[in-house]
Amino acid sequence: MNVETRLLPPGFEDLERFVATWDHPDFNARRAWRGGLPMEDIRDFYETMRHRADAALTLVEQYPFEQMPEEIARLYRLVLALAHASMATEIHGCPRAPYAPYPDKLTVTRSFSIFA
Amino acid sequence: MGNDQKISLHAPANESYTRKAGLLPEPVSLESYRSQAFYELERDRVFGRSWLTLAREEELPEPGDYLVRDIEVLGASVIVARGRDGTIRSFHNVCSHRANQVAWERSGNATRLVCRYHNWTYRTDGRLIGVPDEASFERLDKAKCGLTPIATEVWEGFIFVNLERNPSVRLEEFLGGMGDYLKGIQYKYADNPITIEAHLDCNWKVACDAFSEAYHIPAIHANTIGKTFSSQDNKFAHILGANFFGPHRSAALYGNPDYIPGEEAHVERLAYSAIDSANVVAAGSREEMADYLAHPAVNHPKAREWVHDVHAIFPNLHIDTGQGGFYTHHFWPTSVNTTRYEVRFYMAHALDARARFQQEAYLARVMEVLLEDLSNVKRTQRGIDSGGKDYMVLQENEVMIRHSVHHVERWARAQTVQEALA
Repeated sequence: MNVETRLLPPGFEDLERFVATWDHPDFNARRAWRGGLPMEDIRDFYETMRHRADAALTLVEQYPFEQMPEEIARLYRLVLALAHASMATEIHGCPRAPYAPYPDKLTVTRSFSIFA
Repeated sequence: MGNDQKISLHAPANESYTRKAGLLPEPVSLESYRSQAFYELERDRVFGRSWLTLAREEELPEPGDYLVRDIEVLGASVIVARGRDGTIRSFHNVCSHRANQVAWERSGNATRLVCRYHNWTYRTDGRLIGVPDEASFERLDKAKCGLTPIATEVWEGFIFVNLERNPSVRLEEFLGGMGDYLKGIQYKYADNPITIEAHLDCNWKVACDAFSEAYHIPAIHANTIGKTFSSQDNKFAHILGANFFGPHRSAALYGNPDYIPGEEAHVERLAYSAIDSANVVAAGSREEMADYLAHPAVNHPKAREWVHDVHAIFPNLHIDTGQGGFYTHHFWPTSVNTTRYEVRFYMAHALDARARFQQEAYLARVMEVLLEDLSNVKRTQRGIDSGGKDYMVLQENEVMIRHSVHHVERWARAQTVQEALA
């Protein structure tokens, strides 16, 4: 794979299979997407990503937010998505809160100033 | 010793919270939660006469900044604007010409507010300064045709409005002892409200009640926050204390001081490893918080096993002061059985990737908690509307609900605000 088509930084090629499903532009999308996935997909991502998250953060934190190359930003968005996957695996034991409708009626209308 | 042998682990020895609130442990009528007639009384006598919060001053940092907020129960669209002189004012978003909506954007910065219908032009202090084809208006007195002002006062950074043409009381009198109690709290990160909204299928008080007690936490929030808001020593999340000031009230909630994430909570541990914060629903670090935490109203009992306070400003604002900062809830009636709910978590601007990740994990968990509460309110409203019950029975630690309903009913019956506040 040449540099132009690389989705993630070197050393994280194994996570590229998750990009299509887990890379989303904002908090609302990350949360909504997780709630609609089968548990085995969530667990697959979670079990892989949780072992890579610390190394990913070590790399990402070397870049100021406003000067992040796209492949670094994409890796970071996968780490952010891990927070949502963990809601399913560490809290509910299923993709979303039991007895709650999906899609639900909660939305973030003003998000974080960085990586909304 | 079982909990059934005591009213509360934490109530003063010879006094229950209920009696401290000036109330009795009687069943509470459900009528105010489902009656159209009562809703109309609330419209006119509660929301129509109270001081209501629409924003914080940090949302209008520059002269010319304005925002538009709705008060659906009153049918009002309100422009809140910081004038060129720096003063914050509010107006009905209604053109003096033929009552069209002036500001169509939800926020902005402008030296002029122009009604697009006929281009009538107003300054941000409400003055009418431009009328196209003015000569064709016989006897137009522009000085009398400014935007209709709404009484506005700023208290501790919160922008309050009163929709009475001539407010019965000033804000200071309305807040009374609650204003003194909360005065001087440092509202950390007040310029960064992460805002969540939901439209709910319940009366506004059903939503408000859901955030007024911790009794439900070990049950409905067992997986999300059950272990942080209760423990073997306090299985039912008894509150630590409560204070009452006229129609306003405050309670300190119990938090498990010894909570640590379980072995399998890998991501939770990762998120909270980089920042020393005291609870999974805290977003700030301990050092930043020392002065804020020292305020008498923040963790009033100064208990080690404290997680956050609920300060309820009548009728529909909760200011929660927690370990990592504050957050606010608003419960806006949109009909007798629907509500627009807003919650704002005021958080630091993350300085690095780990801090921002911690915030994502924090907000993700918060959303799961909110979902557990808010997906339940429809069930409660349906039960109320069914007529299957006419009363609810409340325990000691639900005193915030009892106090809220009592004062809403009092205001709905009172001919004057003075009578309501007496």
